[in-house]
Amino acid sequence: MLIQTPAEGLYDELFDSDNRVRPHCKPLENWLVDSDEDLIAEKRREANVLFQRLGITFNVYGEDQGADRLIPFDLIPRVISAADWQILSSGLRQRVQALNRFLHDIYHNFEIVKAGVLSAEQVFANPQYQPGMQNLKLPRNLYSHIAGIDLIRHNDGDFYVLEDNLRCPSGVSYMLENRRMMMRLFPELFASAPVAPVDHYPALLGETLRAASLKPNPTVAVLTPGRFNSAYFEHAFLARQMGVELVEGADLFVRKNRVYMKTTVGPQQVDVIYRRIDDDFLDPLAGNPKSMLGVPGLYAAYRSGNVVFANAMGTGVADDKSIYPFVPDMIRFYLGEEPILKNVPTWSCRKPKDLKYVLEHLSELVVKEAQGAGGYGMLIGPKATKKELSHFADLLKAKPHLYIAQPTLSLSTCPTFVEEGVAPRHLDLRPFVLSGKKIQMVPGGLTRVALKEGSLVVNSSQGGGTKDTWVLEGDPC
Amino acid sequence: MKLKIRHDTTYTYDEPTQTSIQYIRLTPRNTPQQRILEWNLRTPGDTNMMTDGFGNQVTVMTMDRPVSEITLTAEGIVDLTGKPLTKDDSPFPPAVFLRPTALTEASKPIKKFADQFSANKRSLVRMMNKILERIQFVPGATTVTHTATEAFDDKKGVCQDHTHVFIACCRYIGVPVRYVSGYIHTDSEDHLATHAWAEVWLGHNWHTFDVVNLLNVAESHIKLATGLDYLDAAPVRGMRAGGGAESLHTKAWVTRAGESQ
Repeated sequence: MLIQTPAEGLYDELFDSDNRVRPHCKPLENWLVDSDEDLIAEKRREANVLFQRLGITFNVYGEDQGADRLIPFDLIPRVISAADWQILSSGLRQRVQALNRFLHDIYHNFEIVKAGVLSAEQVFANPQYQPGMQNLKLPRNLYSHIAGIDLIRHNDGDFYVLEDNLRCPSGVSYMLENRRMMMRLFPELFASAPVAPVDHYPALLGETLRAASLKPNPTVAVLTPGRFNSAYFEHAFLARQMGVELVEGADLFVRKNRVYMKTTVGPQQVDVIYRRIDDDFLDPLAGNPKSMLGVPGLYAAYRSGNVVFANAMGTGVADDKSIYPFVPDMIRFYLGEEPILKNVPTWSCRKPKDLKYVLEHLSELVVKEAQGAGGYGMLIGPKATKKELSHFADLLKAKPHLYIAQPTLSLSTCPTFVEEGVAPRHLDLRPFVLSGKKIQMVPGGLTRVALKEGSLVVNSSQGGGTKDTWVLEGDPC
Repeated sequence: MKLKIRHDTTYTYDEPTQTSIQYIRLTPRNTPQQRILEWNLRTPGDTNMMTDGFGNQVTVMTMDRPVSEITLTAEGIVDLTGKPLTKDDSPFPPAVFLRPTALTEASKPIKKFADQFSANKRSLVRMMNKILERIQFVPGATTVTHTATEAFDDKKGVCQDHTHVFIACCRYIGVPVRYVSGYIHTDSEDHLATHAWAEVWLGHNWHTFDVVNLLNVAESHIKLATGLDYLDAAPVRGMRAGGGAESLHTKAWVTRAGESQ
């Protein structure tokens, strides 16, 4: 098969700048070149049928309920060298450790604010700050037990953190299923490269969740909003893999500030809730009174230390885009270390000087909402029409504090199956970092790929696909 | 000044409830301004205590037997010391109280109104007066889910609505402000003894703004709970299974200790 080489000036995961195959990608490239087009086409159809049968579908917010779609799966893996993973994993550990320290601090002693690293208003007036978390002692001072950190590789070859996801990061089921699919379709491929396994993720997640409680042998349950949620498949999948109950709000109740699960043999106390419901919906008596998803009394049980949520309430303040620019300072402040992973330079439009710069350079920048997810409220300057640019300029002038701007980083590319053959497409990476007795992660993550030529938007809700992510256990000499 | 309080809250249901759970904020805390000499909260269910993030004492009550009525009785004696508010009575920096909530979102008309005022006490006192001029005090005019925007448009409401509008305005002009629920002692007979007012942070100290009574001193106020809005400080928030339609009846008396009712 023919592989289209990457555009000049971009970092490609397979080819170097002279269009030579990177040494650690050689086995993959050999396989691609040797593979017959018809066979690959056949395998792609097979993968589609299998995913459909497994039920790994998702539905997009704002579309018809029940209109399940398949996230396109690309057969060509994305390969990360052992050397790169070494840097990535130590950088991720460092970052998540600092973020957890930050969360503990802002709900207890506010040292970082007292030291002037962040202003009180930035932290405490942030709508994601949960006053209800104040002075609550959590086991091991852990807030974000499960973190999904979104990274991209720029054309300088370095990884940059694009955003931290510390609330309910999703996508790990795709990481696991993509690997299973590849092993099923191309078992011979794994004989040619030392690919590190990821299938122990559910075991690590279970270990992490049990470590979230200080009780011996705590009972863990996964709390889902229900089958209409776009990530319901993942909730069910992880519960099944860990061998714990999948529950909805109506399956739980609170008595004597303790949480119980209704079972066929009577009530069973629940010690750790891996909750995939937003903070405001957890307890209608503490948050949104109209919530039908949560459990009345849950907050009282939490405040009383009789149940642990993973993740904690109020983690959203640390992954807010307005706080993001300060994560490197957090690492220096709490750990006394220099950040291993880079942050994308960010302009906070709330600052008049930054706003002025952003308005003057709008066509070169990416503008995002400081709070928002899913890539909806976003402007990609170089790709925007004049009309879109002037619309965003108006939005920025009206409510500057709601927006941040960043340079348009050139996401790296990787060969991908598309209509016209195998061509380079942009991608990102979301590894999952688990914090329990220690910080753990499986070598890998979710690779999302923008299937449209030149597109930089990898969100599955906006036409992105996924790939298997290979981390090599050793690099060729 | 020693005050005696009795507060009955009765929920009556059309048909018996199966189970119910309530968060009850009817236990005042000792502060430099108020000393709790005696306090007793009677409920018909199982109770456990919880302290929320704002430091409020919350009684969590659950009931598992069918009932067609629930009565909560809070009773006690509180000594008001007359000391001014101090700056260090909040578990977190005042900036927490800058953020709008669903109940205190500032609509366009509220913003236009608030633009006339600025972040100093004199201006805010003027604002308080203007709010009371605009929004008529009409007992029973609104429900607890009424927003500041609705109260501002309807031009009528109870202390909770006046307080929400005042809060929406303050936060819009960048002044941290918190919602307080509690009791007030007045000599007038027709006045409700359960009450809500606001506390504003102006640089170094919290300041009382009782919109309905146009007061800036809390000389006759007993504080039960504070929060961002009514929902954080509500005397009772509950949920139940069964019960059909519900009616609520509350009655509170605040008298000088030693006097007869």
